[in-house]
Amino acid sequence: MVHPGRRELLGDLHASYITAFSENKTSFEFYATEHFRVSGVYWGLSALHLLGQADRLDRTSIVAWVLSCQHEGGGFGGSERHDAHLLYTLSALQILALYDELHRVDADAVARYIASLQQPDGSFWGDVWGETDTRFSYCALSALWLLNRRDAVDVQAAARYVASCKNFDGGFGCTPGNESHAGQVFTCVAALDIAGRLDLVDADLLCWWLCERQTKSGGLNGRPEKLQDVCYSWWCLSALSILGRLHWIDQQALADFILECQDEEAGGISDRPEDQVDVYHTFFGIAGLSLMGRAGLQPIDPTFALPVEVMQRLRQQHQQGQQPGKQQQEVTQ
Amino acid sequence: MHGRPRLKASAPPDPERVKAAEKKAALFGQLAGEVLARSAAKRYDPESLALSAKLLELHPEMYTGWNYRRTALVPVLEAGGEAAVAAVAGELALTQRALLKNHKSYSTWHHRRWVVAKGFCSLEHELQLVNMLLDGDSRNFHGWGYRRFVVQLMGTPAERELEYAALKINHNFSNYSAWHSRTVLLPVLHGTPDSSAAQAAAELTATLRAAALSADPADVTGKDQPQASEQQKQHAGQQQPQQGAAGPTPALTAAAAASAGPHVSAAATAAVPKEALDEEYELVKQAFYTEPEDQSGWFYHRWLLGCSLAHWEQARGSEAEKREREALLAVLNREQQTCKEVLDMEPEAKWALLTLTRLREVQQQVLCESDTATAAEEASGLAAQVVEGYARLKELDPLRSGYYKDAEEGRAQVVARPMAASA
Repeated sequence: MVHPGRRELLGDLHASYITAFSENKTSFEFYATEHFRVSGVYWGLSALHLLGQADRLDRTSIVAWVLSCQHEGGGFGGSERHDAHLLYTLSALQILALYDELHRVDADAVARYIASLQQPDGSFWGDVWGETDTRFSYCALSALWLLNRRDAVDVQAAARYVASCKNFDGGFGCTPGNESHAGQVFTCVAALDIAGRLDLVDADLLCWWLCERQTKSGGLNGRPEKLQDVCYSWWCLSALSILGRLHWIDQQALADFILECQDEEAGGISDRPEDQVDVYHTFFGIAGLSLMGRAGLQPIDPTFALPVEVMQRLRQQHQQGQQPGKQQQEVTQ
Repeated sequence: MHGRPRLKASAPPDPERVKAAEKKAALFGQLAGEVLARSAAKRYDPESLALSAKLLELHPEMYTGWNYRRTALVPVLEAGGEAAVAAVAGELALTQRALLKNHKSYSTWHHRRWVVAKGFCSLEHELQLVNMLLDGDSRNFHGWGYRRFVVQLMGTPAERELEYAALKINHNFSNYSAWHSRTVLLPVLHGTPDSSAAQAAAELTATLRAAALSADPADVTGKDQPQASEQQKQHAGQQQPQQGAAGPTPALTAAAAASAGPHVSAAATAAVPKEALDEEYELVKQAFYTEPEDQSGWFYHRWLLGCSLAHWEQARGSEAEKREREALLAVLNREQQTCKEVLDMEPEAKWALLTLTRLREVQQQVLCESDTATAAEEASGLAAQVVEGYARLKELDPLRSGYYKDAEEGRAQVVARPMAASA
């Protein structure tokens, strides 16, 4: 039974929470989150977009700030003082895509940075320091798709590497031989989707494993015998959605769990009921509800984690041959 | 925040405490600013590096801080000698403290791997450390991943790692990470007949080619190579890979391709001999009797079933087909018996009922291929039991009724390859 104050999605309260969080510059969280602030802004802005309240953040200053996080080599750091990394390169491009400002970056330079991180076995390093993880395969393919530069890397080799991380349960780990994890399942299934290689997924086996992530609470966990957590409402659900098997879980029970995790006083969503809220769980909770078609929310694309509306606009631009980077070069030349 | 209790907005905290927290935050911000400024100024003096260590101990996920330290370390490690040994010892101590603060910090684990891969330290010590960590947190996937990295560098035989996984399972049947580990190691142990690294590497390439062929006949480059070989070379002078049944890195890396499941590579899973599978069935049976509601063992059981099926699938069309068919039917009957015993003790045991239903499903499919009248009769009896099983599962486990409905109607093939489609 959902708490009486939490039966509805408290959209306005969540929007206020996100706005207030982005303005608080004195808390420990403000400093502690600096190294991934670009991702934080992407979560907050996407949540607001899904709520239809994107205009609550200042577009001009955010775009200028994101651009200031780009390094000479083409990659973006987690904030203006941090080193370039694929994780934040994707988040930066997602923010620019939300604002239809992708033409502000030199697409070829970013694509060169991403291509420089692909290894002979098809995997990707997160940055020049060599950490390998299928999360970075997703970041690379998603970012290149946004830029309409998929040909910059060996997409088939990338897909084969992701497939080599497939496990006995149909799930995926961060490198070959590592245990399946729902977060990794999203990145691998979505990467294979972008590569056009969903044939490499054992869909029935994987989706059965994913539907077993739903616990009695209605919430989803990320691995067997672990606690449920709102963020898996995105990681598991997106993969189920890509593979057409959302109906394998009890969506009403999951929606109730997410609603129960709302803070009905100050806004925001937490990992589990009565825990402290944060922007990350607020976004993934709203995104999960959006995937399940909740009224009042913009629909979200399960592969790119961007509003469907934004994806439609980008597809149209790609078809019309509007390549953001080239447009920019013409202007500056 | 993960697992942190919520503070009520209607009961705001004491203003003094807020002030103190803000002061602490500002001090932390100052330290971070100082470290980032020194990093940008390329200052690699001991005082600057000590400040970065202090920051990373407080906040291990701040990746730019680790990048800064690595930039400073590169020339020291390249020069080698005592200075390199001392520097590596320092980094190991720092990452250990950082992992105590946050044992799920990706950046910290990566820093430790980067440092260890350069040599200048004892891999035995790393193994002991990760054993300690997994004793405290037996499902930490960073820890298991790090363990795989260390044993690959050491060239530990797959047998030894299987023993470790068994130890963890016997300690707690609910250790899914350890069951997973067995699915990676068993094909390696039985799939590589020789311990020579070269042969193992050749087999790896062959496995990957086979996997690529079955997935994408148009595009086979065969350029996939085991990644850790470079790191292994760097340790070669320091530590001789042990000669064992499975061989070093390539053998353990090949496991990833082999463990891709019966759908991708029946050949790889059929590599686990039937006698070895029987031992695994026995091990997992103990788990069912102890904790029938725990999902770990049941997921493992599905994999074993896939391995048993692979033996029969591989033999199809050959002289061995009839023999393998009989062997498979014997396994299916024996395992059904196990499920029934669990259900006798706990009639509402969902996992036992699901497994029993699937076993019947597979048996029915196998029998359908036979053209004798008794087999056909038996198969139709099983089909009715399968429908009944899924109907009962929908009641017992309503959260997943959508899945059971699809399974009942033949739209979800979790154990067997859809034979009708291939016929």
